[in-house]
Amino acid sequence: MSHSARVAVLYGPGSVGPIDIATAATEADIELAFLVADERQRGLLARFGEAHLVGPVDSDGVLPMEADLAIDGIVTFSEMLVPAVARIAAARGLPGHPLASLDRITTKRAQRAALAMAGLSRIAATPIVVKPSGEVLYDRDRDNDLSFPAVLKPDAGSGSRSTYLVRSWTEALDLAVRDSVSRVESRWVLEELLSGAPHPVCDWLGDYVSVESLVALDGSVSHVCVSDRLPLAPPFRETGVVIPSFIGGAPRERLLAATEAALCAVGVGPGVTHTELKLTPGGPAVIEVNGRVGGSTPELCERALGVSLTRAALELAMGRSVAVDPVARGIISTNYLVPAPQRPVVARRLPPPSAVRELPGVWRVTHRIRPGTPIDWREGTESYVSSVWFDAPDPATLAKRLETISAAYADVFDEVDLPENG
Amino acid sequence: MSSTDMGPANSVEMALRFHWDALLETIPGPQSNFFDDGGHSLLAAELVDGLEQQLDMPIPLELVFEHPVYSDLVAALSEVARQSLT
Repeated sequence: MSHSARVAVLYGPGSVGPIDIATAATEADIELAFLVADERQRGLLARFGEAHLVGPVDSDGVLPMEADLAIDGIVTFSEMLVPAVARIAAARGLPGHPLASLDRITTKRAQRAALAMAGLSRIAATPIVVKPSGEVLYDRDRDNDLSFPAVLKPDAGSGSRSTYLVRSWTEALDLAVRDSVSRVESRWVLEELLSGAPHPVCDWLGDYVSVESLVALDGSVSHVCVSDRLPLAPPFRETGVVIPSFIGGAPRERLLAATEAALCAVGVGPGVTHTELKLTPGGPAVIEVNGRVGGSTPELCERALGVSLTRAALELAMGRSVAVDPVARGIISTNYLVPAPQRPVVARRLPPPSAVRELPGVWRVTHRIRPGTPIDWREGTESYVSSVWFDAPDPATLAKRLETISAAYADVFDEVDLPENG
Repeated sequence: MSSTDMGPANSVEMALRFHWDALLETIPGPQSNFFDDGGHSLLAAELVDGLEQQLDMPIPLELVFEHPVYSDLVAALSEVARQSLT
């Protein structure tokens, strides 16, 4: 018996909102089935469409789900669920990331090696493993190009969580051991600190960009947009995405070409991808390839360019060919993540969202925390205090509005004593 | 002066104020907009879920999307509550 196209969405942290997924599915004439591992969330998602309880993912990375659930595709918008979705897709013969590529898609170590082998970005790096016994495995001589200062980060993960600038092997090993005990990491990468070049159009913007792309079933790649990034907060915390990028012409083409080569080297399957590239004096260097939609990009893309990445992800997941036509609407849309200082603080005096929303260009304000909440900058990008969404017509206005919004948070923090190992 | 200017006036408004504050971590004013203040669709579902349990009546999810402004939502919820009694 035939059924109309049905795509499962494995729902998890960081996902696009269910109403946006449901709307995109309706527009694409796709039946939607949410899959989630939590009964309460299943109940909430059932308000938006069919919702099934699954999992949790077992020790082999397999996600138990109803064997007779008929689906034509499966996708996730949550980084941590990318491997589970790839495994389900492979087991059911559905479009998805090839299992052979999974390690390259989800771990920095394997991805770096693939990019280096393809002659793309050679970032000197070496692994550090902290075993449960406390034994530390590392090889100082593995990569002779590695010098200090360097960057220590978890091998898998996102959002610059537990990512540090380190000045020596001793500091790197101390931090790796400390965070392996007090937090959740155990596999680390120590890698070269890339020197960036100024943004070619707005030197106050971050020295890196991202590219949102669509990979079709036949492997062909089309690009939706280049996104600029607001400058990092120390040490490596992201503070926002700007869509579309101000970079055009030949520099833009170089970014797109590097992205396409990286997607090929990593071996991503059909779907939406989010690739980050550093602007360096020698040209773009690929920082990382993500086999999923980038955080906060769907809303910005839709607002600024009229393209639904969410719909594209659903359609690509079932093998449809997708053609998008991004059209600049004369606005630059930004999601500014207001960062906390790089020291133990409490956010005491958050401005009311209604007051921030009154500022020029602002259309949404979300406080991540309540006043009085201690903030741990080591959580990385997720340690932001507020998410402020705003538009601007041009770079100068964008800069002015960003300054105005930042000023609204100038007197928010009080320093506190927090345990470093907390 | 509306009831929302004077503070919680009835069980519907008290419940909405409680769940709004709990989910969005901000005390709503009459013109607060659920989605502008950080609400998203999953939080809207949580809001409705909490209200249904506290008020013991079915509430359509669409209500939050159609009436995202606090004072409007109070009025819409009050109407649902009134109809559920008839």
